[in-house]
Amino acid sequence: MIRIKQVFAKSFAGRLFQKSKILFVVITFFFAGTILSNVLLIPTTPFFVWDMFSSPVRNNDTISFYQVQYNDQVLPPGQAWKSAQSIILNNQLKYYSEYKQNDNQEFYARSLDDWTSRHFSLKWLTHVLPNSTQQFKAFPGWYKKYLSAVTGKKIYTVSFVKKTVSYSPDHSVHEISADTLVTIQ
Amino acid sequence: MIINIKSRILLTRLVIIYILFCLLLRLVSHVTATGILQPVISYSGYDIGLWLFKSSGIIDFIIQYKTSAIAFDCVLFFSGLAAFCFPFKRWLIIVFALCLYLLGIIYKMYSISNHLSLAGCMLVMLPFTIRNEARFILAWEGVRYFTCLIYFISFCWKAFHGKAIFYFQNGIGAVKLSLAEYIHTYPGSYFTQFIQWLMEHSWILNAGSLGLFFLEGAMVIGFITKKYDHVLFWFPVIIHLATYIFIDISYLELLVLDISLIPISYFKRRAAAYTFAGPSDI
Repeated sequence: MIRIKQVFAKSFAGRLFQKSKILFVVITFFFAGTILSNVLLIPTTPFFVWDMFSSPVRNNDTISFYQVQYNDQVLPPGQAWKSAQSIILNNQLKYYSEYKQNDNQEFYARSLDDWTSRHFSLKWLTHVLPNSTQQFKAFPGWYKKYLSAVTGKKIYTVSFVKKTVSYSPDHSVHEISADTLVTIQ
Repeated sequence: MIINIKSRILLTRLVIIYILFCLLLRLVSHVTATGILQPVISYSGYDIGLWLFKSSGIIDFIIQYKTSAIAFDCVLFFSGLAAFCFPFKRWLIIVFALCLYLLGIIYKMYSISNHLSLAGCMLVMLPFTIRNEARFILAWEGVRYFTCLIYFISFCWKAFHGKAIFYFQNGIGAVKLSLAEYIHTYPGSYFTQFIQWLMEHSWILNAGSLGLFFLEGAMVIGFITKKYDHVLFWFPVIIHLATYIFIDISYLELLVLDISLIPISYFKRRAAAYTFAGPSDI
């Protein structure tokens, strides 16, 4: 027992406990929250789930990716330093295209309704989360404005294209199909 | 471990300058509040932390009005710059930390993704809000343990949940998936030729991928000893550089946490070589 006490006193947690009880509680809570979020697979900001690239990526020769095309030009890939911007450009348009393809229904709103019916006590928190029809109507205008700021060009049309390509034995890439998921005029 | 004033100034400035550099990249790529300005579609998933912010109306107040978005960005950058110049003005650091946290929430909500690059910036400034030196050192050590923890958790995800670690063609699979668009768009570029050469020798990519997983796992050493911190420091650098080059996605902002693996003794040695304005001057 004495030995455990000695080890604890020398440890980071022990030193923390001796110097500042508040800091001990805050840091312990933060670490416990992070571990628990990852064990229970529930991200609760600021307790993040660090699961990126955790699933196997199969060695497929046929690959699909999404492309943002504007005024018949393609938004260039391969600018990783701007990946925060590419994520917004791609994900916002993907979300909108899913809404349009789903007969103007937001999948998130429906699944949130299901969730809230099981957790009714949190309804006060969830009612502001889904996006309204007005928001989706305003989306094309915002997206063109944002893309215009990014490219420095006036935007007339935007298309979100799902391209499927195939790797040949010499590792060059050949286009198989290009499906336009949504077009903003 | 005791930290003197000079080394704390050096450490604070190093962290702030790195964050400011990352923010500058965000500014030129239109990913600050002013850049995104008045977005319409948000997504908060099942993250109660995000729900609270969304329900409070703070995020909408910042981002839905031009004046407040510009004001937010100005406060973010100027508090950062001012905190760099006056590292002992705690209120400046508190304002900067708060703005970084809010920027992280804004980005998470409107990027509709689980991209955690800003997570480090959201949290790393918190120890600098502590005045007492002994408590600051302990909180900074907490950041060090947190850095080791997140990489180890990431390894555990790959080993026990996603099980990517047991799929030996993961390297080539990930590169083929991530760079298909690049190869398709720039078929004759030098980088394409380099990637195609690597695909021809796919064992390099697969071994590299496995190696990166084990580097993440090796961060657990940081929990046992600080003796190898000078080696552990390079692991996140290698991981994020490889991700940057071969997966075409930047997690460089997360590297701010990596500064916590630089021993305090290093800052003491470096600080001794420079002349700083003393705390009375700042």
